Amino acid sequence: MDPSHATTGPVSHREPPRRLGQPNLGFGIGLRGAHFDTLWDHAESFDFLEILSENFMAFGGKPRAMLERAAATFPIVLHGVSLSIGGVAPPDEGYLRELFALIRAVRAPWFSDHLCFSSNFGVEYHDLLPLPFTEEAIELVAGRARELQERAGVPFLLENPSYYMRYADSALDEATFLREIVERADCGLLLDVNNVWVNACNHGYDPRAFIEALPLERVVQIHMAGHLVLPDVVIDTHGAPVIDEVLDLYAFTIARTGPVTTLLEWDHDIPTIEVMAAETDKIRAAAARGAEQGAASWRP
Amino acid sequence: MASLKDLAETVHAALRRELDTDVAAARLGVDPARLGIYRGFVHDHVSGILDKLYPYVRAHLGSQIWAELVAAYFREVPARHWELNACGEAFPAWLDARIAAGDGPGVDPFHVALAELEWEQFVVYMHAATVPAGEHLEAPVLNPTLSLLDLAYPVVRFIVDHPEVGDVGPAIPVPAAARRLALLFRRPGTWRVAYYQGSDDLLFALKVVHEQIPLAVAAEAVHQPIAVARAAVDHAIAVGLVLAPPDFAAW
Ligand SMILES: [Fe+2]
Repeated sequence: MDPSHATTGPVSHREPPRRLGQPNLGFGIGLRGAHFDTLWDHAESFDFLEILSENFMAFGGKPRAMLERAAATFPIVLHGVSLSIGGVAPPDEGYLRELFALIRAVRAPWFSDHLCFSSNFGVEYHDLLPLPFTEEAIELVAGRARELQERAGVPFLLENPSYYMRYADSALDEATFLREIVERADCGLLLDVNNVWVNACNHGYDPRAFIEALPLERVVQIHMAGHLVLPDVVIDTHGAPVIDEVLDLYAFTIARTGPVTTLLEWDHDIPTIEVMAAETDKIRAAAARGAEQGAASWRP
Repeated sequence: MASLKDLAETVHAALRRELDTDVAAARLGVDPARLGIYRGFVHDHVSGILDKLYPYVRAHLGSQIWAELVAAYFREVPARHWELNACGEAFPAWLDARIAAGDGPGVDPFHVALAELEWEQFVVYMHAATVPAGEHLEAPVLNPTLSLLDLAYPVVRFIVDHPEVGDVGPAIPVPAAARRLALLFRRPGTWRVAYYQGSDDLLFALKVVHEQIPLAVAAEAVHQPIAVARAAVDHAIAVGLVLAPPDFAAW
């Protein structure tokens, strides 16, 4: 392990952590069909865009034309859902070819996918299935992530997914599992703060202690989103405003990381671009709060 | 401790509905209700995309038959491609095979033709070709997004007669079988997919432009005045099937 990446406490005491050398792109949203016609009049409300890689890898037509326009206007980062890095078989080579081509086409500074499996035995689930928190899974995923990052030529970030079931075989705690993988792979972490909240609710742990246990110097990007509270479970829907508790948890995180590229994820019941801009402003305000709390600890 | 592969096999069998949730959950040491969430999600991604891709077929069959079909499709045709829409591609052919096997109560060959058109509409919408503006052209060309479908029913007519899918339901009679060509393409200057039944004049214009036949020669071949041939090409230009330079006057 590179000792410069080791954190044993919640706060780095000298300077904002280096985030694998990647810049802070500011505050952004996902490029979605719902905003293809309205985004351009509100371009100043957002600093960057994220695309769901699979929505643009296979297609021409309007999505591709909008992507080209977006890439001429904003920095674009890629976020995938079908890599299946924890699948029994390695990621599909045809998929990777198209993914790498898209990274080059939009000059993405980095790309990300989830710490999960989303296909197995030749079948796509189109959902993110949790891995057991085991040494076997760490070895498998870390090796693949390291190779993937080398082949892509730009940093790869693994996202902490929301998960609804924890296997009896999970011998490790989730934070250790995440840390071991990103450190052995020497890749980045896409920290989804809403997922931390959802998982904390569903599995009964303290979200702040969880965040403090992560290798925060590797957080290159943050996701913020809304969720749905059901009687027995909290579902990560990406279909509602970010709740105040998650904004507070985000401020808590920023106090420990310094400013980080942050994205508002909204995939269902997508509101107007005006609402997206207003929700992004709430995130900006929470980031400013967090930065104020943390500035004393990470300034030189 | 089970290996990752053993665990993945159990999860897979549960998601594919080949293994009872309680049995799989006990094997994995998870709450069956939580495993059930994933079972539901994985199924709903497929049913959701079929709903999106085939709104007319769904509306015309009615919700009960549609739900039975979707459940059977999910079981029999696992999603093989990482792009979600792609898992709907096999649906028309699967529907056809199901009817041929006598396994489709309430489903008619008309629905196969309707599904073929709906899938093609998606393909044309996402077509990689750009539709060039007239000022970039030197001569008339076919719209590069054009797709030609040979359908066993007059499906284009059916959709033109029922432009709002919300007005379509099982009570609307199935039209009589009649082979018709359907022409689909993205309308120039928009992202909308236009579809036309292959009328004589559009098919004539298609042939003339595709084979670059001089209008006088084409008119003579069909024993028509050149003005008639010209009108057919102009019609094809007006609807966007043929793209032409703005000053296109004679050929
Ligand atoms: Fe996320």
